[in-house]
Amino acid sequence: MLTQQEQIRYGRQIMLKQVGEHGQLALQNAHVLIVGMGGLGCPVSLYLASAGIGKLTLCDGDHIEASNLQRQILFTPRDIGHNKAEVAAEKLTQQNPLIEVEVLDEMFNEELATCYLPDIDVIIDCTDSLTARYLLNRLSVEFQLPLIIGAATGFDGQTMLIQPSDKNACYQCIFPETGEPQTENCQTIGILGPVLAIVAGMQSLTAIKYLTGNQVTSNQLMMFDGLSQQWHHIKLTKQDKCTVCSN
Amino acid sequence: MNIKINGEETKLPCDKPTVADALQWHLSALERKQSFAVAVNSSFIAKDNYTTTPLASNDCVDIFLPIQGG
Ligand SMILES: [Zn+2]
Repeated sequence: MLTQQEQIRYGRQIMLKQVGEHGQLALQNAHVLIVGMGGLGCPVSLYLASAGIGKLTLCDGDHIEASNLQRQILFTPRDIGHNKAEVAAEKLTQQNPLIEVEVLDEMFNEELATCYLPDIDVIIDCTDSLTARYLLNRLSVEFQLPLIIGAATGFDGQTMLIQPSDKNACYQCIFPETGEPQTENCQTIGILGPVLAIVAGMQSLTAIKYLTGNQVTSNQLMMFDGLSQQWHHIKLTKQDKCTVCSN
Repeated sequence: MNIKINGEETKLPCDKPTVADALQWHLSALERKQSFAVAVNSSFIAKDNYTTTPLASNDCVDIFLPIQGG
């Protein structure tokens, strides 16, 4: 049962027949892990906190720098030098005191995974490195957890939902690890805040739809081009020889 | 044969080109070693199938890289 305070606070989304009280309760019972509290993690966590996801675990070992403030919209100049996950948790708790926000102030790793993933319903990848993404992809398959990937640099964004199953592609199916370092990132080629907001909006929408039992699409890579402001969808297929998701 | 690679009209200098020919034409040797993926008419093509996937006139080939950043 929703309290009167919850009825009021979440009224505009409960009003939607695809959410309803049932969906709201599902959101409140959910535990979402957000890995990376930078340009994607800030808007994703704001949308999920304000929508009433019952428990958010925020993971980031980085400290806030002045050059982050152009796009990492939870942070202010006085937060510089502090841990991103800690500061974010403080702000999100102010935004929504009805939810629980947990902080992991270090980079995500296998050890944390073993400890935390058994309790998680959805993982959201807001990291800025491919190494971290390949790790999350492997863990998503190992723990059979949905993973919502997001990434953006320059004017370009990508997002993809991975729901491990014998029919669904994983990240490794599409981009097999080559061992060749990928040098381009936000530090080297720049990024516009609204491009991150668009990708983060898609990730948050996918999470809310998934948790409320609405239909979501696997086997699809969505690519956003901020210059033409168009999306391009690529239809994916699981690879029988994938070293991560196939036996 | 005329196809589109990443939206740009491209003339491939062969009669019966495959995805592998398009990549040979479009990417440098270094780029071919890095992580990338290919779609033909918005459907993903696995690496193992590059040499056996024929291209038809006006096919749209997209070559895209994993984005790193957030
Ligand atoms: Zn796979």
